[in-house]
Amino acid sequence: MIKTRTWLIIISIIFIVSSAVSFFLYRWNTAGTVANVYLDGDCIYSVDLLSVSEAYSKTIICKDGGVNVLRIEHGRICVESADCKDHVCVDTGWIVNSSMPIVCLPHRLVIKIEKETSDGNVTMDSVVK
Amino acid sequence: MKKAEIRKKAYGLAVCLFAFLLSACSGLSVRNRQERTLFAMDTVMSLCVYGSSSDLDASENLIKSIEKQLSVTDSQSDIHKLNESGTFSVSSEVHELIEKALDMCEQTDGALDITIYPVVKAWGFTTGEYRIPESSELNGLLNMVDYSKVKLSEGKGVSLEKGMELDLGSVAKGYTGDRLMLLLKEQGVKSALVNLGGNVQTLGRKPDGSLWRIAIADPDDISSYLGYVEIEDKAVVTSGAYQRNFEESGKKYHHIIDPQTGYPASNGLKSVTVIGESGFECDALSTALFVMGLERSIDFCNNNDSIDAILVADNGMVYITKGLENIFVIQNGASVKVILK
Repeated sequence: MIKTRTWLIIISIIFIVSSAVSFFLYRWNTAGTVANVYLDGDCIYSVDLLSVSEAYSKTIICKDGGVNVLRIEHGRICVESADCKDHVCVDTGWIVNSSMPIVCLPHRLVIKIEKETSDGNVTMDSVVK
Repeated sequence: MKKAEIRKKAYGLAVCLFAFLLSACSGLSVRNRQERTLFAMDTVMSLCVYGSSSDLDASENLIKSIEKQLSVTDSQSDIHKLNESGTFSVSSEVHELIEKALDMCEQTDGALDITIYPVVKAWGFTTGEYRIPESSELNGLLNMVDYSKVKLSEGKGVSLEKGMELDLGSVAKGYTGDRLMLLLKEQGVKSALVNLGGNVQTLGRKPDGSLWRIAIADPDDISSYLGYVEIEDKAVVTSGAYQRNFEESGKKYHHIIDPQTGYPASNGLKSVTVIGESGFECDALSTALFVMGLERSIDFCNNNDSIDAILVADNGMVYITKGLENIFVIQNGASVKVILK
């Protein structure tokens, strides 16, 4: 017959393991700062911005032949230059979190940060503009 | 086995089960988040649904089917056929939408006019081939702009006067947002957020029970925020001079055309954000209030209890309706004045 103390130990272990699993799942879904680049809805490139130690540029050739040059630094990403008509993508500047994507409508290119670190700042679910 | 021991074991088992379910549920709620980004209606749309991928498939199909009906450029769309022939029997959904849009044109005293398309085309906003039309050209085109001349007949018939063209672009995204919310509700989804090219619409609250926090772009620097609102089951739509524009000889020209003048509206406002339950209404009114300008917009808001609005004046002053007093949080340090209601 198992004593009450043994039961308590078993319950505690299960509770700790459950909490650890729960915490891991939460962190797994929120930690990191991954920028995903979409072309016409398809993800064509991903980069974990927190793992970038040296800044670099990346050229994206879009489906219509248009060119967007991305600049990638530790924790942030922007469109450095583009041959689109309106340059809205370049004017958007750097993005550092998921609240605002960079969009190049003429080239049907979208850059979104989809997982970010929780640094205590107010985070937004979406942006109207 | 004694009764007391059995009770203890049962109690222990219950605690274990509770702890396990708790951890499992917390994992599931995060994993059910489904997102998709697509290009439709000449803009980029992102859908976030706490449900299944089939909810996203259904949403995407709905967006594409509405686009097919309302597009002014697709030769197979109801609107294109109507513009081409002047008289056309549209689908019942399109007929109902035109009726609602005309009602909104009436309510806003023509500040919203769904027949402005020929003028917008002349400025090149539909093609990206921007130009400044001559005033004589604009005057000629303005003769064809008058929503009251759109005739709806019994059944599904719609007719336009010669030279007139209809465009539902000013309400299409808001209407699509409403239809998406209905669809997702029918699918059993409790929590969703869609951003249709800057128009945000939400279903319910976030899965953790908190409100959706929606930032409003600062019209002076769209990469930062003017502030944010916290909402549930509502749409948030902004119209601003910064959204689609071109520059010539150092002057900027934006795409929100004043139906009275044929020129980009310039009536004392930098941006207008409308918050309400109907995406259609928010979409229509954000454009209409921007055209009306500051004074008329304040009057309009004071006479219409159902809408809440944030008006950013040219001098940087931010006006909000009373309903937003505890919902809107300013972030750019601007002065906020509450409009009496």
